Amino acid sequence: MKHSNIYEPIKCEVERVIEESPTIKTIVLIPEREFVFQAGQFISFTVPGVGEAPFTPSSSPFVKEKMDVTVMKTGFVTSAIHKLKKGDIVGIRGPYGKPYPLENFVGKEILLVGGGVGLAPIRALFYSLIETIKNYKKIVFCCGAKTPADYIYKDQILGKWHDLCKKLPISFRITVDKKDENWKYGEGLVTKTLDNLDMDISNSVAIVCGPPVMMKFTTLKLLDLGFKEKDIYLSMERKMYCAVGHCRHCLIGPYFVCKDGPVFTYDLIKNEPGLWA
Amino acid sequence: METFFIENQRWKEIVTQWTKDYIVFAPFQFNTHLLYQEVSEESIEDAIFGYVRPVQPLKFFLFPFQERVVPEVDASEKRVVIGVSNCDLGGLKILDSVFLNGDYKDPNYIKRRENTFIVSIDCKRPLSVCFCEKIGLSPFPNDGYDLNLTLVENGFILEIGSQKGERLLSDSSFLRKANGNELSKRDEIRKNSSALIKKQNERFQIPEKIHAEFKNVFSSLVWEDIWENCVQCGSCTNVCPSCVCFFLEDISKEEHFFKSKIWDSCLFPGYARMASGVSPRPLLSERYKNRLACKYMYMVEHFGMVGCTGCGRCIAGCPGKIDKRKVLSCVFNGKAEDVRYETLEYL
Repeated sequence: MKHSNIYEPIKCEVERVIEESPTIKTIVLIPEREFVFQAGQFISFTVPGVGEAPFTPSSSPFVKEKMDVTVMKTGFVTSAIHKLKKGDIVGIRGPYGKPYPLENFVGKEILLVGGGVGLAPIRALFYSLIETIKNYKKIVFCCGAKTPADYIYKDQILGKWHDLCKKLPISFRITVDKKDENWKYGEGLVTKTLDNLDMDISNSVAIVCGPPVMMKFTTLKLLDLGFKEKDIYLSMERKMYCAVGHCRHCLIGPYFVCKDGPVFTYDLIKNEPGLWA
Repeated sequence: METFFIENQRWKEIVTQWTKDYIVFAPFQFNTHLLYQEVSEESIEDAIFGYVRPVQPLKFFLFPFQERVVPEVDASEKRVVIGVSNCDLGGLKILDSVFLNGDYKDPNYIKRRENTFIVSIDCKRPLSVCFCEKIGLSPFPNDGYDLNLTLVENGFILEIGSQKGERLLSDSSFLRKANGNELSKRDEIRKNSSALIKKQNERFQIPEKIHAEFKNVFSSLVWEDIWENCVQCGSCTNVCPSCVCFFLEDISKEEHFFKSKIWDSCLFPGYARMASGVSPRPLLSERYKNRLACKYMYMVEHFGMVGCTGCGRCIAGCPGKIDKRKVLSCVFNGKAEDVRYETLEYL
């Protein structure tokens, strides 16, 4: 059913709140009615009486009755989201924006690079890729966070997803900026995981999501490695209100993050002012 | 479409008749300006039909400063807005392109647009800030109106532009077709006001195909030196007929969603600032340039038309006295100069 009022949210109940890290929580929502999205698309999340902010769901697009939204506490709305508890009522609008173009990835090797809370949209994509894994040659998943405690989805990224590597052409490269005594993976910025990639770069695509500075240096390194500009997919973030291309807050040059994005290939936006804000 | 001649007195009778079925707005003079006011049987003698554009753009009627969008407001009242200039019809095309776009139609705008009847008027003479001819528009409309008026001796030439316009005139059997003489008089009046606007803007060096040229000056260093008089008040964006930026405020109570839409201005430092505190345009110089880039470059890509209609309201309303025509001249000349106007002429 299509909503007649584009601004009217769909009511959702908070089913569960998962503390991922000291600053990041995943809110599990049960929408009042079935809600379908594709990996890479985003929703506008209303905390009643507080405000609205855009997030990309981090759960599997194949699960329609529930949705995970992973949120870092940063500002006004995200602080209110962090105060939510089981049974609270919130709203979502969407899905908005263009999904990751999986059709462009067929027959290719896929490099996923996620940093911090930027792993959220990549998790939704990863679920989609696993479902259609036969279409791709391999997946290399590079993950980064500031410290081991800052990792989100620990039981997956540092746990059960590694079993997938045994039967599927998937490998993980995991790092933290600064390790502790119990850390058994790498140390260094996420760009370091891009050294000695065992990939056919000319037949690869890279999907990057993380804080702006991480995306900037990852992009520069990928270009150095020989990735083509049009094969680097970046998740862009901007101030956003309407999410439907009316309010013009999210423009990057002439491109609407809400309508034309939120995922852009680097070639399209590379010359736009303030890109890495 | 059909053209008629209508005498002054008859025109006032028609408008008076409209006030029974519609809320009718027309320009009235306040000091040195024309402002839209509601017309009543008593006030109609003071309404001014056919002179210059009013201070408010048409946007005020269709996309008000603040309004609730969830739940949507009752926008069912029928309005007639008389005195709309062609620059505002240009702005209306932008508003339509934004708010009636594809799958996402603004719930209030769609109803207001349907319930608003637009009676445009040819500009008889320009204000000193008017520069529509520099942007490729004329001081009279070719389309986009329901009815159009041209002020002539003893009355008006009235042209019907749409079925809505026909509906407005359904009871007016006393109209008489305009004759060739009257139509050539109209051509003469139109030519004359076009010429006046061209003449008063001769000294400004704005390229004819500004949308094609703008990208060539986007990286010009001149931008660094011409924004300093901007006090980031948002006046120019408020009075612009085609500025559409707004933010949403959530005023929901518990399980009942309420949202309002409120005008925003791209010149404000918080406009694009994200929760992290980072903005893609932290400097006013960047925001100032971005506003013009939006008008002359981005909107052209989005809607196929320049997002400036040359109405000059941003000049008249600027407390920093910035004359956008001078700004553009500097940028296209490659030389920074004082961009402030000296004096403005009013009515």
